[in-house]
Amino acid sequence: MLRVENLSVNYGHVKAVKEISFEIKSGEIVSILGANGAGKTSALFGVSAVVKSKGKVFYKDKDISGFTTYQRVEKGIILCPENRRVFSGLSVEENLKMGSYLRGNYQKNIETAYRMFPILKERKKQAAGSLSGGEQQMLAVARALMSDPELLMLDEPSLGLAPVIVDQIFKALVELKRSGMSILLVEQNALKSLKISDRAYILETGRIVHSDDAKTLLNDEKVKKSYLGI
Amino acid sequence: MLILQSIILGIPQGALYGLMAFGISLIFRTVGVMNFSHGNAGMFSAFIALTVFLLTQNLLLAILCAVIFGILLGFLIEKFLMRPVKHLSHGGMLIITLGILMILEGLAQIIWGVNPFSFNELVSGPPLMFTLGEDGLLILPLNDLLITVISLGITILLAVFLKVTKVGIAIRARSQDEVGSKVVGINTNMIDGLVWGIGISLSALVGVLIAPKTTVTPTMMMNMQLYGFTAGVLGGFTSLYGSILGGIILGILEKIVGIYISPDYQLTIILLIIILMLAFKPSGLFAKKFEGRV
Repeated sequence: MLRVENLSVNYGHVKAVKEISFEIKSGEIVSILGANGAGKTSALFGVSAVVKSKGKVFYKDKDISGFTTYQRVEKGIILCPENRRVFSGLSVEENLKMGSYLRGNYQKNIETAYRMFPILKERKKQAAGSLSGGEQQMLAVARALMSDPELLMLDEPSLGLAPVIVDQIFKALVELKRSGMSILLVEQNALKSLKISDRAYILETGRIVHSDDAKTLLNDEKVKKSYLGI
Repeated sequence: MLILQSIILGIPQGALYGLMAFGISLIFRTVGVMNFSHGNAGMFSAFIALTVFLLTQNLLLAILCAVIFGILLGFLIEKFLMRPVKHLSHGGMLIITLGILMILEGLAQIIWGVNPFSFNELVSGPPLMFTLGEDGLLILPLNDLLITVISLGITILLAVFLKVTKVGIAIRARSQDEVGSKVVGINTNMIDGLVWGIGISLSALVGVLIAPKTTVTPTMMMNMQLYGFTAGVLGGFTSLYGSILGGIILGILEKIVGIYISPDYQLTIILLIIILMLAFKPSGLFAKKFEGRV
């Protein structure tokens, strides 16, 4: 579905991502694991063209390397970015409306979003900035879903959330996979993300150092020690 | 009676300050740059209106041309001057707007010279007069009335546009979080261009509306720029209606100072207001609580 070849992201002289290649097949959940500063967020920014990058990105075998962010959104590649990035001064409802700015059926999707996260319906008139961190994260995920993603990329969806809410979000992801969505997941919580993933890549200082089936990685001694803390 | 009269004369002037402030703050909130070339962009548009008027003798067509020119100028400034430096620094963008200010003034001098041109009012005719009490007489010039109605009308229209339309919400979204607005599929370059276009066209409109009073010269908008900025500071750059209210307060205050103290002190008072506001209430009189740049 998505194939990335030799993707590099530089910030001035800092090389955040160094010629990485990876792919996501249709209907898969793929995780990217790695420590802080390994280049996970930059890799997603590169795929979404939020930052400039070198290398090739193919989507459904079509070269989309020259596409801007909104052109990629139009194709169904949706990023739910780190730190939520909700529009704090806009109401919850307006945030969701912006989610379907380019694509997605607003009427249909808003029902689904409210069903998945009922708290958002209660707060729909409230400014997004007044929500709690967990609610904002739900809003960020809901906003990404408003555009009917074909490939959903989530950057640290569990960051700073209570375990109950993390479970809720992961449950939602499994549900989405079942409905046929492909998901690229970047997570600090490696154990949780490997459990729902099909495959995973391990990123270290901008390079992919390892990749395998999620099940194999879960039993890998080295992975266990460095990333799972078992 | 004198105070009522100064209020009545201050409101139309203030409404124009407000319109000026609306454009400046719209650009500031969305793109994050204080546009120093705002007034001169309006001045240049007023010259366009003057030229069209001299050729066609049609005032409405002339004003329309100025506004359209303003929109185009805004788009061009964004596309060719702002976009290349957008992610480098806000300071760089600020310096560029200073450059545009000087270039526009120089160009206007070269093309049209420094001698003032007169410009027609929208409506002429005897002012409305009201008698109040024994010997009270209030004078309300028709043109002033029309200017107030136009300014308030456009402000309300724009506020509604920003509040309810999809593109309007997208402008507010982009002003709050650039990455967030990119990932939902908003074309941020297009939005920035649109905001520059709307902003400069407002200045163009102010230019043609104030031209009958200031005459059309390359320096006609110098005060407008300063007063527009002050109105923005007064009302708060964060509120939609704040700039127009700030403008009207400023217009009234200016007339009152002019009548009761001395016209010489008008500018001094304005500068004092900037300093006091920035020192004691930098978010402005009508600001909502601070939410990023908006």
